[in-house]
Amino acid sequence: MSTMVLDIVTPEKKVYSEEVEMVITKAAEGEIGILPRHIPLVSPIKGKTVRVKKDGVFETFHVSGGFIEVRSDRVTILAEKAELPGQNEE
Amino acid sequence: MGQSMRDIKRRIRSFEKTRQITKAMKMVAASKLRKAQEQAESSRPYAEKMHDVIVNVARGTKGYNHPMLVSRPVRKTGYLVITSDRGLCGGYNSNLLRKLQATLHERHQSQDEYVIFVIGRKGRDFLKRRGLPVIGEVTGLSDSPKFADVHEIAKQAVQFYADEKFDELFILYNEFINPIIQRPVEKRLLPLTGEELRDSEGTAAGATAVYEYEPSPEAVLDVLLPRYAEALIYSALLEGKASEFAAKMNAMSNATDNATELIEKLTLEFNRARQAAITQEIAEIVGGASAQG
Repeated sequence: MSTMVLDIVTPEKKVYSEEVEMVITKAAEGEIGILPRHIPLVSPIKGKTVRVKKDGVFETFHVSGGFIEVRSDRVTILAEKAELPGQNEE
Repeated sequence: MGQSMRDIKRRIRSFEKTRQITKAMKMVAASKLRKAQEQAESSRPYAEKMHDVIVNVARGTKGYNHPMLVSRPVRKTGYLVITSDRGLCGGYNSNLLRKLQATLHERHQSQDEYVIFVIGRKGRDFLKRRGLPVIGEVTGLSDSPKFADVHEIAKQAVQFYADEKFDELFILYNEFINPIIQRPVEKRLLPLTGEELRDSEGTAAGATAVYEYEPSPEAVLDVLLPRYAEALIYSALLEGKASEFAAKMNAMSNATDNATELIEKLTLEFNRARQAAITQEIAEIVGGASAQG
């Protein structure tokens, strides 16, 4: 299965950068699922969660003040805060 | 003579203690500087990425003029000043504050024409003492500030601009050039200048893509621009921190050198005094012996 790179970046650092298969989140106009080779897209993220499928397993990320930028082989999420599963910083 | 020898000895000991302290402070500052530089480095991707997207959006939406991108007649000016909480860092704060004062003096006739946001205790005390209009302050930041620490003041500054409480926003901080040189600079943050966005067009060209925008390019810009301004403030703060530690390192390094020099001088003086005491003693003994002779 083809993959794309997902970067999650906060003002403090790059939190996450991995090859993933699918990203699901709630964009400005509703829930979207992004697969590799998606059309370029920019949207604010509504809600607080981003679900990511990597190696067939879903993980949930918490972000706030987020933004998603999609390119065919690369997805970037810009967030003021981001929390990875199993990591509870703030 | 014995008295002054003891005096000199005491002074040498006191300088040695001072030197120990300044040396330790220098080393602490050096390690913090490294950390601050790393942090400034790791904050870069966020601002850069955002910049790319904004350039892209702005290019795709010719004709739409977001208020943050357009200059308007200036009735009131906002300044955001980044200073440190602690002293003992050479000219770090005083140079910056002097620049601020010179700027204010040059540009404005009365205090009604500007307002000031300040980060850092040193700057706050300075401005308050002079009765300048400070409308927002943050003090007691950690040495590696989190975005959340400045988010409030950054948001406030940007919001004030959006509400037209002032018509331009300048940011003053110490630019980190290298560990030896830091320079106070003033940059216009808002409105975001056209040139700033255009400058990087060459570099960002490779990344150009025609995006779909949800819900619309304008709405995306509306959300993105304030964030970008906040990110810029945050990176200025991180750079200011790096400069602070660099300045502190230099100041403490100089203090250590000075102490060493003084100790050397005093040691020489001490030895001379000791020598003089011995010589005198011999002279006395010889004198005494020959008198008895």
